[in-house]
Amino acid sequence: MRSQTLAPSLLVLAGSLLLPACSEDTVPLPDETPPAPIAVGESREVELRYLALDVTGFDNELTLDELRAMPRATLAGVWLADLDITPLMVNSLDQLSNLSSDEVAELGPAAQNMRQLLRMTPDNANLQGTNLEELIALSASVGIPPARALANLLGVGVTDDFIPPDTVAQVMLTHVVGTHPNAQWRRGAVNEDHPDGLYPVAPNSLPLTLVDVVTNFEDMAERFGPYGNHPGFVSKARGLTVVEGDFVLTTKVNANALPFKGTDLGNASVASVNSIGGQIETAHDYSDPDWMSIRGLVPEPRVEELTFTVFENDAFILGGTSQEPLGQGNSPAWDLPEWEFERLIVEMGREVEAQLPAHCDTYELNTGADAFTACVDENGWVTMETFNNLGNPPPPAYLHDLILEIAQVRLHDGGLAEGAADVAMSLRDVMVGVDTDDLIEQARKNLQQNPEALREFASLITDSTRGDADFYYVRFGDEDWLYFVTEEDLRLDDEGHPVREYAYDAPGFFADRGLSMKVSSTDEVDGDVDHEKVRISPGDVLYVLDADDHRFEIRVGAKPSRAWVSLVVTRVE
Amino acid sequence: MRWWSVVGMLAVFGGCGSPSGREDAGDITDPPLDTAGDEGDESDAPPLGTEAVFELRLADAAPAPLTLEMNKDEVAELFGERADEILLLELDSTPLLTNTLTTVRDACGLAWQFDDPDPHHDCSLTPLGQTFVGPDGTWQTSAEYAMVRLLTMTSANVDVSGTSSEGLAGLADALSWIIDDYGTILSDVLGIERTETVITTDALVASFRENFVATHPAAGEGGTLGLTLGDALSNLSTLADRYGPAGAHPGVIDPSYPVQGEVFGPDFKMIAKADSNLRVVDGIDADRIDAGAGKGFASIVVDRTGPTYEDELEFDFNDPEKFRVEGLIEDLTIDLRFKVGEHPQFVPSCTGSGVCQGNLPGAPTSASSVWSRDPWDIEFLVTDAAYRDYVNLPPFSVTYLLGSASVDVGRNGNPLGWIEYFVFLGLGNPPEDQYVWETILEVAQVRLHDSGFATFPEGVEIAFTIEDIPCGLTGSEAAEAVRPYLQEQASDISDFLLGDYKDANDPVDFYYRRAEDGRAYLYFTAPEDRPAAAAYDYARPGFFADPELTRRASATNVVGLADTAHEKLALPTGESHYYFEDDNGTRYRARFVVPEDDSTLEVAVAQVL
Repeated sequence: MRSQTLAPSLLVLAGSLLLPACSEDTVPLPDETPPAPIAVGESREVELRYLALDVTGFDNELTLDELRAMPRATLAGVWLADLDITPLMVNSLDQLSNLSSDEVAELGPAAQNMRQLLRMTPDNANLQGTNLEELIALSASVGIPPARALANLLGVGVTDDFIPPDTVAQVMLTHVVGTHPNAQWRRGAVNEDHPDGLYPVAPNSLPLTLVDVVTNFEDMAERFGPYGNHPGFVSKARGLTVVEGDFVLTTKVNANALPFKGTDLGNASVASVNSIGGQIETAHDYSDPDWMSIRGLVPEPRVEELTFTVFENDAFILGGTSQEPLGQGNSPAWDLPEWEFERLIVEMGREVEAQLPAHCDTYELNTGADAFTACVDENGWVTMETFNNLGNPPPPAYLHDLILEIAQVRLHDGGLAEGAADVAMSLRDVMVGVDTDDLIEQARKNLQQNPEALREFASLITDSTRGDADFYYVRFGDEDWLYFVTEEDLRLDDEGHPVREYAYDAPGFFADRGLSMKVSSTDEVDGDVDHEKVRISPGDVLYVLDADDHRFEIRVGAKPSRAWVSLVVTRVE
Repeated sequence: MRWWSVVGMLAVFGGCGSPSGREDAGDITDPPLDTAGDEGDESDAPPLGTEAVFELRLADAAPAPLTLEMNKDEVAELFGERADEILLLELDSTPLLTNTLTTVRDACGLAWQFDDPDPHHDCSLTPLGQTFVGPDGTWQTSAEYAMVRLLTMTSANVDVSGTSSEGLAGLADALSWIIDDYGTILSDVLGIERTETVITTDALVASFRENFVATHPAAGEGGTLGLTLGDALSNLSTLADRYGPAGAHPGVIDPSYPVQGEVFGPDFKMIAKADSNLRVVDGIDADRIDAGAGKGFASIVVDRTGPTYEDELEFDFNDPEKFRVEGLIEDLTIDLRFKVGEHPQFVPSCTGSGVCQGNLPGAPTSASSVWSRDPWDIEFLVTDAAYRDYVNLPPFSVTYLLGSASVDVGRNGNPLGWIEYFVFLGLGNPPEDQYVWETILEVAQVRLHDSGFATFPEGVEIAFTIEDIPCGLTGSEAAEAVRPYLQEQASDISDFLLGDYKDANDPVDFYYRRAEDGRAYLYFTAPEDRPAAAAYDYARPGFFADPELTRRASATNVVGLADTAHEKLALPTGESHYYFEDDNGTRYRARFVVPEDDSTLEVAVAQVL
């Protein structure tokens, strides 16, 4: 484990003076034997030393195995970027469209029907069972190629898609992906702007964390499967290969690599608090373009197997019969959850309408009589009229309503019952379509803007927290300070979770035993605004309440050395 | 369109067989057209551009029949101006003329039917008579009444004053206490009752039909009046134009008065069900593949019903299930005005000489003969009517006063209808020998210019505005009568409606269709697939096995197929390759993939670089 090797290596580095060392004292290895709990009224003396090993430009390289050994929670906390999956969606749809016949045969009936829908063009449209069937069939009878009539209605070529793949992809992204909670929000640092720790995910994107990278998105199906009311959109994802075996994540670190020394009041023992987290704001020199580099990302990430899911409503949803609300109409499809098939279709239809200029197509007989007129107004409202009502043209409706009917009928081809045509489209070897250089650059920028995300990660790199200090000693210049621990300072277990609850009822330092006169504050000191801290001098007396609600008196004794303080800890209650 | 990116240079497709060596398929091919071996020697394929892939599908299923149920407005909309070209029926003008002339005859009452020298006309009795207005504002002085007087002339009320018969009539009437009066003599001679009209209505109708109506350029044979759909739609108003003055003919109808006759009632429906012989076929227009528009369509006629085998629509107007009209006005009548005129000069009767015995219809013996007049002149019409009545008058002879006077008709070796008068010492100045109809001609002319109330100069024109004249056909009869006429025009009507179907055809280079032998073929486009005015610029139509277009794989004549206009090619199952040249002279290779089910094939077209 990296945590077991880095600290010694840093010591070696310091010892060999390869880096400018700032240690002011010789540092003995701490005694690992835990002392007995301190009793009420008992006093013990502890000495805390400020250890400094300032490293500059240290290339902190992490291999794939090392990263994978880190706690998942920690890795998951390192948000790299919002991965725009538009290319993935487009590629998936394209691949679905161009499956071989053998591959098609492997799809379920509903998926095959969905595929046919996606491939539907005026040329190959099957309108059997729809309101347009009779009309279109009759158009050939009077010399109007049905495909031409449909194409003209849609304002496309006869072999163009009914719904352009880009439109399908965009609607899927917006209404299926974009409505999934895990694609709407990602977890991040809790702060004033984000008190709940939730951050919006960029449109059309999935949040990408370090854990996704090192695990090749192994939990993709879990994360983007059913969640709350949302049925999810990925039921299976396997082999999303983002990294190669020689993957290395490198960050250049400028920091005091040694931990702070503090006191666990429970037994008045010396404990260590990782110092990297506290220095995270300054640990990386972002002016250095190489402050972070990633090597070993696959040039063209692919998904070995990916199964998209789309769920239909259990009922046949009728198209609208009214123009109101304008541009939408009154189809019940608009009241459906955004991710349901029928809703998606009308959304797609509306996108098609948006690209369609108002126009009329009139087909005349040789006598000059209008055999067939189809008009689309600027809102997509379609009016079809035929001579003598030939072909029983459908009543006026929005184009999206017509498409809705066609789509629903076709989705159930093969005798599928309503509600039995949920679609699972399994694809293999789909290109994610992400430019890895762009991804790296995006991650670099995101991390630079949000170094807090690296706090735990960086701390784990050194993994130097030992014991459970309630406070620790920091020296700035000639000033000696005691810092009360925050939640961020707690020791973590192997999974990256704190080993104990942050259960301090009154964090900070007080001048009185009743803890009514706080002498510490979180005022900024050397960039820190998180910790309760107090500057100390020999002779100072402080009172502290630990996580077990035990009160202690701390008397600052004479300094044994310049970077060394002596404290007498007395449990007063 | 789904583009399959294929590297332009990749032109080698394996497993395509070896070249057959056939230099030319010729143009007689036994079925099946054997293209095996010619489906593409791709071992030496030329460089190709990017392939564009399309599907071509067969449209084997006959489209649903067109079923129309139209009201009058929709019929008018459907046929437009073509309605004037659709003949619904040819109306026998006899009933119409009979009704018309009877109405005219009776326009001044029916008292003329009594055995009375005075016909007791009163034109105020009828609506038509009320339209007769002479110079003094009365009907008596109208020319129309003079015509009525003529038409109602009987032996009893005949007035021969001013004619060559006047003396004889006066003598007879003077001696009526010992001999028959002139009316009786006349009825005896003519073989009619005293109260019968001298010219029968039937004869007059026949004369009008043959001489007045049938001579009009727009009239049909035998004086029929063509009634078009346009006429019916216009409530017959269009008849005024069609049967108005035409050339020398003064017109059967006087267009100064609007013709009116409602044919289609408020509940009119025309129900027509036609099978379409049009089939939309999938094709390829190769020079548009770069624009993503290479797929095209063409409509073709697949008429296997006949009799013409070129009809876009297959009507059966004789089948009530497929065609019927409902809601025609049952009592079909017409309002119209007709006008007849006379020759500008008095037309003398041919009398006395033997030459006049040869003066017959169609054989006038002189330029002044009535038979030299225009047939639509009143003189001709009346004389011809009389001729029809009396040409077969049985020989007859009557003697008065112990032989001091006699009348012989058709006797003494004379032709039938030839009348000889004899009066001792020529008393009464009897008319010269002549045909009966020549006598009537004279009387008619005199009476036409002297109605007893007024006199008129030569050149009289008489017009009658008649309304609600039955056409001689009921709506029900008309509904059935139209069937044969429409059936006769079924092909034309089909053309009227869809004859321009080729205008909508894409300029495809070839298309895929199933022929009558049940096999699917590629048809290379032929001139007949294009609109009439469209160019056809293919220097080498057809499909070839080689890019140099030297080994023709298609043929125009395929045994079992009637078509000889198209280069045709039956594709083998599986993949095959052929070359063709489009109308711009650009060559392409077409790679076909035909599955066992030939209803859909895939074709990848690439330009030969």
